[in-house]
Amino acid sequence: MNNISKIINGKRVIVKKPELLAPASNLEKLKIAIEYGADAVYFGGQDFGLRANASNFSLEEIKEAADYAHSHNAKVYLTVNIIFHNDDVTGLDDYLKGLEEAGVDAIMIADPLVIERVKEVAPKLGIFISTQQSTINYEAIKYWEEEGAQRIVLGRETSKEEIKENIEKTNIGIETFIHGSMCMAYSGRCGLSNHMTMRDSNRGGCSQNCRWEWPLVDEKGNVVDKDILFSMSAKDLVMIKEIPEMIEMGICAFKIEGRMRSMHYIASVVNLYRKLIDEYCKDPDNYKLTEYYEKEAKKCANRKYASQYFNRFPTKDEQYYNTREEKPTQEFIGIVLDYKDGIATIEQRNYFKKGDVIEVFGPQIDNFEFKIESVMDEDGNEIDIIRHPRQIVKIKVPKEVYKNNMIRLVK
Amino acid sequence: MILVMEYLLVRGVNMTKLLVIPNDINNIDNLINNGDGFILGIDRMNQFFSHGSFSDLKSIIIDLKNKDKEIFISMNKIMHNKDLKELEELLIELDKLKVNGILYGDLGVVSIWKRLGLKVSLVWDQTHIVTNYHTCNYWFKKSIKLGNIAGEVTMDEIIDIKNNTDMKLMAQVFGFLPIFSSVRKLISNYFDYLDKDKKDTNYFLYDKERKLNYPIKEINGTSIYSGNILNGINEVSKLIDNKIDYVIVNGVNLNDDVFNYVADSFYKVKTDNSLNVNKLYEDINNKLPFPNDRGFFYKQTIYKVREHE
Repeated sequence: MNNISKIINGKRVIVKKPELLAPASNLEKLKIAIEYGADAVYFGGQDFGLRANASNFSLEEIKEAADYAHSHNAKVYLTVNIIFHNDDVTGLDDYLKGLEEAGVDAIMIADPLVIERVKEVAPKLGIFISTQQSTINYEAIKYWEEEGAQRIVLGRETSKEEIKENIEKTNIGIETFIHGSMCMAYSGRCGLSNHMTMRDSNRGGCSQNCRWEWPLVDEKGNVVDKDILFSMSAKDLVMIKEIPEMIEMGICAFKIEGRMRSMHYIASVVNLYRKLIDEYCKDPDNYKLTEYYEKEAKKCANRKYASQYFNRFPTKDEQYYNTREEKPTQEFIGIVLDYKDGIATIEQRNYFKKGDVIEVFGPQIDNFEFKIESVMDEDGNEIDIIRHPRQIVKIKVPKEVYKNNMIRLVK
Repeated sequence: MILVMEYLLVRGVNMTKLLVIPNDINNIDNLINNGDGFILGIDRMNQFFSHGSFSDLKSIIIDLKNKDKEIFISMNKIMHNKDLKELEELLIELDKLKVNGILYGDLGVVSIWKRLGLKVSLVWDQTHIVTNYHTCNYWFKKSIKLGNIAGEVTMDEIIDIKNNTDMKLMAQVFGFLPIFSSVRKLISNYFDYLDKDKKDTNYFLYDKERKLNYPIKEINGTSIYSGNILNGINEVSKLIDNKIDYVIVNGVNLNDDVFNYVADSFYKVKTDNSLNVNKLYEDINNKLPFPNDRGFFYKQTIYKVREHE
């Protein structure tokens, strides 16, 4: 038996639970991610990160985020994962010192010059190697291990056999993605954005040109197919079926992609994987993947999904050839602010009305659906339509709900 | 000796060497006098081009070295575990052959090289990632003495890098620039989806907006190249003046006639500063089957998108 599990009271339980790592682009989302069960959150500061268009955190906000996370037994990781040009280095040392003082647990880096700077000016910061380095094999992992990194975010192009071998042959934490969109290129090895739109993909400017559709032409100029154009769009990664195997392999952290995603998305996805991981770890030998998880995964996906490289080398079936197939995720209509005596106070996030069937979910409850029989405004007046952004209303609910539980429209 | 004196008189003290990436290994005899050395790709080890297996290339490498040509071997693809055994064997063989350097894109190469204590030089060549002198200095301290600068770096930045590092530098001055690499077989997948047969022909992604055709190939995965051919013949003198150690003329995706003319022109410019480079620039452009530009020598990519919107 490996050290992943132990027999306790005659039953095998998982004792080496992987960290569930969620994205956040602001404090509100960070708090939701932690409340919904993330063991750690990652986000970018206002400099040196790869999502230049996300809102990103100031140093003060980073400190607040770290304090909040630590008080909830969670960790915070910051992306410092641009590939630097000469002048970009200005201010890096002060920034790293600021991160260390703010209580950031580790930074994710892609350019090794940051390792040198961290060792010199902010030695308490942990160093994780970003997936932007496309570290795939155990020899490359050993390089980073010897450099003092604590964790590798493995390139997405790894099969389960490769992940297993990498874990067996190295002594460093291996983190993998479990959910979200995929780069079609090796991460860090794509200049489409630079060449097509003058935006530097390795410095946060990626304009996602790989999602475009193209006529593929032969050398005589003939278009291969005028109706279905060439596409490099990957189906999203969803690993609900593979999570048990991934836990048993000893992967140290499961990462959810999506720093640009909504609060509802983060809550839904974290909720899904938190429950799945906990259920498996409690009694792995009697675990069965229930329909609930599959249904939940579909609710938070607006694109088709696949396990990508994990089970087999990706074929046409792991790609997307017609973006019109995308569908909106199930609509998020409100968040619970309070609950008392069967009445939930809700802040509206999208239009809904009396008579709608809605679903409530959250970390403390099992999802439940019901039809809205009555809605009142803050003054207790009955209303039929809830159309104002962030409008506060009261709804009669059939079961107890909790602050920050979320509500989706079913029909 | 007389030849050396003539050379110095024409060009001055010029330490820059010109390396050629042959369009086709069978064309190497025609290119032999157009470069100080060659960069060759080995099957299964390079993301963007291959000139044959090691056994195919071994005698060619020995022959070229006997002709005083510098030989660099490009093994810059991202390595998977299944590649590591062959990679290690090749590194040992290339070390024995005393090639001038091995271009790497995967740090597994560095790990194996260190573990085996090999003498052969490594060249840092992580395609879009070789962009600043700070990281050059990092690698230099790790005994990596050469770096191949990314195609997305400006001329001013290249000079700034040179002025702030002891690392020897390479910069591409001609050819398609690699702009994308994936391990997936994207062309084959597309044909599978269409249920059509892929033909034995070259394929291109057509960009209607920019009216460009980007060459796309399946070599150890899928690679895409720039829609414009970089023609930096006007920049060669500036790179020489700034003591850039190697300039690279890349023939990938071009036919013999065009590329032989290009390589010959670049080598002339490298060795003779009295030439009318503007005329050569126009002559080359007229021969090229694709539009050309000066790459990123004078274009800076946008970093923080918000500040520019």
